[in-house]
Amino acid sequence: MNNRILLVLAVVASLGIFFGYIGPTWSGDIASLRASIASANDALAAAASFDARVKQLAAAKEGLSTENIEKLERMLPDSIDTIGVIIDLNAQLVNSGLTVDSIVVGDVATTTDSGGRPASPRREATILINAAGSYTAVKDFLSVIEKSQHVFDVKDIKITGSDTNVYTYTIELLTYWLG
Amino acid sequence: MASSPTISASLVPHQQTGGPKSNIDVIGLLSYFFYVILGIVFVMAIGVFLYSRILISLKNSKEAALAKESQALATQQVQAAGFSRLKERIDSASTLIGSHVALSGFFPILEEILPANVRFTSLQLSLNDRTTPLLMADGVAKNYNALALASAAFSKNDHFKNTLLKITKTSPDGSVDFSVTSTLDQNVVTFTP
Repeated sequence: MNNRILLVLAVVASLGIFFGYIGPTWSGDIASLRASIASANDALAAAASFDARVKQLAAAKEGLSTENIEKLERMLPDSIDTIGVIIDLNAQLVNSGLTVDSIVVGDVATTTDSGGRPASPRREATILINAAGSYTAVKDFLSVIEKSQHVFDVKDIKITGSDTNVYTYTIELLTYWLG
Repeated sequence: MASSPTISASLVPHQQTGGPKSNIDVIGLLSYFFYVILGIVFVMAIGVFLYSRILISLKNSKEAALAKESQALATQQVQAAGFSRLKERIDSASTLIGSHVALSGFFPILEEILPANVRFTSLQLSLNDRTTPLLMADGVAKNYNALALASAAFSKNDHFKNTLLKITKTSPDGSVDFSVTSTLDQNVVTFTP
């Protein structure tokens, strides 16, 4: 009789432990812990990969001289200093022997893709110059600005002659910065 | 006659009472089986408990490592933003240099092909479309022969395409006013480092 009671108790205890503790713990807490650990492993792997990439880029940047980086920043500054650009261009025009009538910084343009998002971080502004002077002077001016560290691209140039060898110039330039 | 003690006195054979008696104790066997099962389940429960403790410890160590990484990440993100900006600057500068306009090569070509007795009164060079710079000019030639020489020079020069030269006015002194439009070779106005 006692054997039978102990047998029933063993069966009940086995079932109780299995379905009351092992099953729920395995499918609940342990599954959740394993998922958290897997997620943390993924995050750590991504962090390690990011760390390696940053170190790789830092090593690549070491290869660039400070002087060259500064040149790049002068070529494509973070913003446009319109007054500074006008002063620099005016000085250059005068140095070349041209008389400046006006320098106007015009529209700012951003090229966009089909979704209306900026296609490039580069922004551009138009600068309109009205000046007068000799043919040699304008050639000198154009030669200087094409080698300028701050990039100026001639978009349009109109030269009107006169009998006195003093020409009038309308020059449309584009200048750029990184938006 | 004395009967043998091993021989039954009765002639009627004793009835067999159910064949050979079974020695298997079913309850005992079941008990043994379920005690083993209980033991296994108990060991499993201990295993699950220990495994969950190990996992909790592992999770805590991973979280600590992640917290450490996330602190380092804040600095690295600033660094990465700097690299990204530098890359954008290098890419944009590279594109700009590739299409940078330089007119210093254009004027000498024009001076070279234009006869001395032909001059421009106005000239416009439009680079709205960088791939096909457009030259539009008005000028005066001393005579038809000078203009013909200019026309031939434009035609022979590879830097000028689709040149269209039109006479706009002929003066009594023999001079000829003309206009010219031409598409310029892109290389003439592209900066060469």
